[in-house]
Amino acid sequence: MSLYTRFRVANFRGLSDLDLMDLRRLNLIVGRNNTGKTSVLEAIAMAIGHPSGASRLRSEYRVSEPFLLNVDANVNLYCFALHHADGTTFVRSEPSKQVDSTAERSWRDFVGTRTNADGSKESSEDLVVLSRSLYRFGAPAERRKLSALPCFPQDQKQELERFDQAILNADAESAIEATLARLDHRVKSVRALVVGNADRALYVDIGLPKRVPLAVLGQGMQRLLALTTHGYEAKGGVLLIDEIENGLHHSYLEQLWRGLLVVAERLDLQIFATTHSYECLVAAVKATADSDGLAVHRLERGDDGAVRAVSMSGDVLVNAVEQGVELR
Amino acid sequence: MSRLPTVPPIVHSRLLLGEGRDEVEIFRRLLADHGATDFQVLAYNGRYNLRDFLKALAVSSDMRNVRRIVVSRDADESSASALQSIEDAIAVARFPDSIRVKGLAVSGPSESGALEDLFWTAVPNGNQRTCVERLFECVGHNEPSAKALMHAWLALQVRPNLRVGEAVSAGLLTLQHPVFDELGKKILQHLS
Repeated sequence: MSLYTRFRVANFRGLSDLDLMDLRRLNLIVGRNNTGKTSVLEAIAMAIGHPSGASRLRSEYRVSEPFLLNVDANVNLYCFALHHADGTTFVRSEPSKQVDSTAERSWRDFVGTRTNADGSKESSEDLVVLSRSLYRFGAPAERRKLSALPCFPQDQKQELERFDQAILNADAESAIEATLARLDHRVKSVRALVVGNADRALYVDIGLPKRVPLAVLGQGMQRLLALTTHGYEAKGGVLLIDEIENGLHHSYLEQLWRGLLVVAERLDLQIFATTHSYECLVAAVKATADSDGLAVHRLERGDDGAVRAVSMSGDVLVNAVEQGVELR
Repeated sequence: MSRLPTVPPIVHSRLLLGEGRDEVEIFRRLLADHGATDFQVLAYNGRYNLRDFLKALAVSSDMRNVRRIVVSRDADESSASALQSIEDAIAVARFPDSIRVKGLAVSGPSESGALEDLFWTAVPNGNQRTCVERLFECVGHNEPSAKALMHAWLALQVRPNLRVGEAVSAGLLTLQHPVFDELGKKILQHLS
């Protein structure tokens, strides 16, 4: 899979016009609260054809304006209905025709509908004219595989299904066990079992007479398992991880990033993760210092209120971390 | 692994960079004595680290409110060479246009020297000063640098292991002298 190198999003949530340049295999998105880190993940999910991946990252989403997404110069345009999580209607809109890139565009150039909160529908003729002329409208970007890991704990049933799907890959079982063993060296194997009347769950052999439920080994262990199984789900595509450091002790973070780089190369993944943690950022830079595999994208709000991205990679990033300056 | 950046948070719009801890302590007091507010002094940990420090600073998220930076260093042999070296480092760092960055070479009475030259100028005449000068004459060192003179003078004090910045904090050295007044005004002029 060729890696995406650039991503632009305009008029989406709080992002008026954001351009992420110099994308790498591992992309860490940092920034203060409310600068749109998770929104970028959502936008990426939508841009490569996975609106459901975006909804996994937030329990509710609401988009009231038409917005534009651009991956490597291929454009997807989506029109959203006004909605809340309940009664969600996702309406995708495609360009109805090729549009001159210099011309002002309106909703009339697109076929789309929206569903209002009261359930009434409106056609594109009723929508507000969008006068931006930022993009050249072309064919939608290819749809790629995607998996999205939110910052909060996952639905256990879905995680089990993801585990089952992952271990269909011959190498996955040993990869999962090796990953978990890095966090707790006692881990020997992981099995999905039905015990008595209890629901099917994951159990881990840690050298005790009986396996113990994964859940009792702590949030970090569950987070790591989820990272691995989501990686397999996204194999050959894109993995989105919100607040990647959640549940993990800082001493493990460098190892985590080293492992992520290896897994991303082996499974041919492009990873976009967010963090608030300086330790996590430093760990990512140190773990990938010998490769060109990492870019850090800082979202920052300018004096005009617009969010822009500062992308850093390679020596610039290593030097900034060595000098100990704030990068988030 | 550091849990926080080692460079302190930058909260002011005016930034003065000094070579090390001594400069931070001295410049901070000097500017405060001149009634300056909304400034911050940071150390770039030696002239050989200046280029890397500025490059890192230029991409730091802490720079969002910074509008003025003054980069100081000792003039050593030549103020002009020192300034050129600072300006080269500034050019490589590529700060945004919204930040004005200027260099400042700290020299003694001539166009050469260092911060210690100012302190040696400020050391009052008396036995200690005379003894230090004689010490160097005694060992055949006829043109000692102000750094050497100041270290010898500091070694005579009650706490003999202090650096100049620490000696200022301890009250052994004072900034109440026209040479420091002049330096303070020059820094403020650069920061304005």
